[in-house]
Amino acid sequence: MPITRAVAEPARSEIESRSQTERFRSRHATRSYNMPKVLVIDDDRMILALAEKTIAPIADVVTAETAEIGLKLVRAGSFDVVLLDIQLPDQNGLAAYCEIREHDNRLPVIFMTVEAASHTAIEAMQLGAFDYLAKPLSVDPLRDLVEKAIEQRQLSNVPVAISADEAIADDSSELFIGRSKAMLEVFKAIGRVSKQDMPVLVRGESGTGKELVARALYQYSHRHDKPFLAVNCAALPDNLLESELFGHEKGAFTGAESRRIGKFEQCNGGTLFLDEIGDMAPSVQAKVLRVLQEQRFERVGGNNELKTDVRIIAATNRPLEKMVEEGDFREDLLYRLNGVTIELPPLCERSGDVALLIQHFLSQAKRELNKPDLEGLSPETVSLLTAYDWPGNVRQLRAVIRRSVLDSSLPVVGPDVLPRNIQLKRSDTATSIAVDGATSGPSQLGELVDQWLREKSTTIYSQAAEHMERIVILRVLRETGGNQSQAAELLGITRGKLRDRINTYNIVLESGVAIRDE
Amino acid sequence: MTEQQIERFSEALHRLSGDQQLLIMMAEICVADTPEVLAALAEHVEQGSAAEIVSTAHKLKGMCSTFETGSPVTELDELMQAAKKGKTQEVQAAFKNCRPQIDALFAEVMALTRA
Repeated sequence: MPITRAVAEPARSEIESRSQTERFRSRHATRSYNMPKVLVIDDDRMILALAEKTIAPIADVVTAETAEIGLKLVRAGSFDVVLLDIQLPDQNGLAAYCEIREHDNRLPVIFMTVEAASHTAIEAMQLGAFDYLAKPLSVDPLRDLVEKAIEQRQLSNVPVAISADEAIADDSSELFIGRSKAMLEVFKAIGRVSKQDMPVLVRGESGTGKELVARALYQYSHRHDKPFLAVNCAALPDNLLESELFGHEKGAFTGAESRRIGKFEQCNGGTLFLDEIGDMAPSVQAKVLRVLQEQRFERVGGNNELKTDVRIIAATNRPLEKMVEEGDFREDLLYRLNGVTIELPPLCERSGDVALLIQHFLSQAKRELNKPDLEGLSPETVSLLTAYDWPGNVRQLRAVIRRSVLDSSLPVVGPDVLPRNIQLKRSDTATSIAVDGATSGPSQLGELVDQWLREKSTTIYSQAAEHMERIVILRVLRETGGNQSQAAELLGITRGKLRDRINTYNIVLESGVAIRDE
Repeated sequence: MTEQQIERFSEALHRLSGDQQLLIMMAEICVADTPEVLAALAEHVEQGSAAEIVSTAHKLKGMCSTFETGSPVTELDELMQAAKKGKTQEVQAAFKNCRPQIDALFAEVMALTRA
């Protein structure tokens, strides 16, 4: 059938009339609370209609068919989310996006594109877009994504709990971030033994910063202008480790085509860090012991006795005493090494330092990942990070902060970008904070604050905010008999956000009436 | 909507969570807007102006994909690729090739407006 204008024209005016009416309704509807505002910019009126109908239950929707009108609206209004077509009739969507960012860099922008795999879509994400949707649009993913963006917007308006202050990101080692008693002991020990030439054994779990201690000992030693070399004893097979440490003569073994100088020789006058010394083979242990006792050794396959002046710092996370009992580690070497031992505490035992470390890594990530718009972490994010037990210690914390900064498209890093295992702590955190929060009410808050003060918590603001939020949500849900739509309306939040909080605080709705908090 | 229409546009309805009224509303918009876009595309193809062809075909592709993600969306995509490469003859052939599919889809969409 040929397509003619005559057939189409009446329908167009009818639709325009309907659309205008709906727009009027959405703009002027009297709501009992402040609805979020969403701007949709697309020259396809079908997309505008779909977006209006889909998003209307959760937000006021304003539409624009050109970039020019859309940008005017952005400058004039206070929107919470923008849905933006990548290809607009008067301007490229990416250019429009840059102007939106210039006006408000916290405003989440969701791109819509029929070319979801295009370079433009990738470029949009690189520029910091919140997300993009492939056309044809589906209503459920659209609504879910807009809800998520609204939550992010609300979150980004919360004052940051930890700011990404670049001035803090100096070059000082993360080793010296911390005020816990255990770390103060570490600092003191470094100060006491750094100037001595005696060997030092650094012990601690993986990721606690053993090499940083070794480097600090070296930097504060008389040998700071001499070499510092590090060897990971677990990374090399036994024969290669021996050759790596002591060198070898030409023809010492198959493949030894020339003489090789080992680390003990290279490092003469300096400091040698033997990491993972618990993984060293007994034959190599014997040679290391001789160096410690006599400062003498031979290259592999060599007869000449060589003399060296090397300070040894060793590190391990293995139970050397038990290994001695089982015959896997030389007792005499252990006693030689552990004349001075520095114990690094796992991060879970210095939880008071987590906030300081977060601040340090956040500032570092802002600078190194070139994120000038980064403002900091939201209170909920900080709360989750401080509640986590960090089995991978400081190294893991650093990696999580960097990854979260990288993944966050907004200036305030929200909890959604955290790894899932950390997000799972949400319910645990809330439960432990407010065991009887549902019934106690705000009068108990003062006592809780006192308790947190006694515990020297550094996240009291976020803990208190979560505590109050949980009480409020439970009370309102009781009031509505468990009806989430009504509760969301009374609370002035989206249903999605309410659902999220119900999950976060482990609230169970039974038969839509009784509420049981676990 | 008839049973046949529900079956025919089942994918589109699935994307709209089964909202037939919304699909009909979008069909009304499509019927109102498509002739103008299609006429513009025909004119650009005739003139061989690549940038305009890509832009207009992109818009038409988006509109058609609301109802059908197969033909004629795939043919419009081929047309756009040919236009981007500046292959005028291929563009004209592709347009001639996809026009019947566009007309057929349009007829089905128009029928939706009478549902």
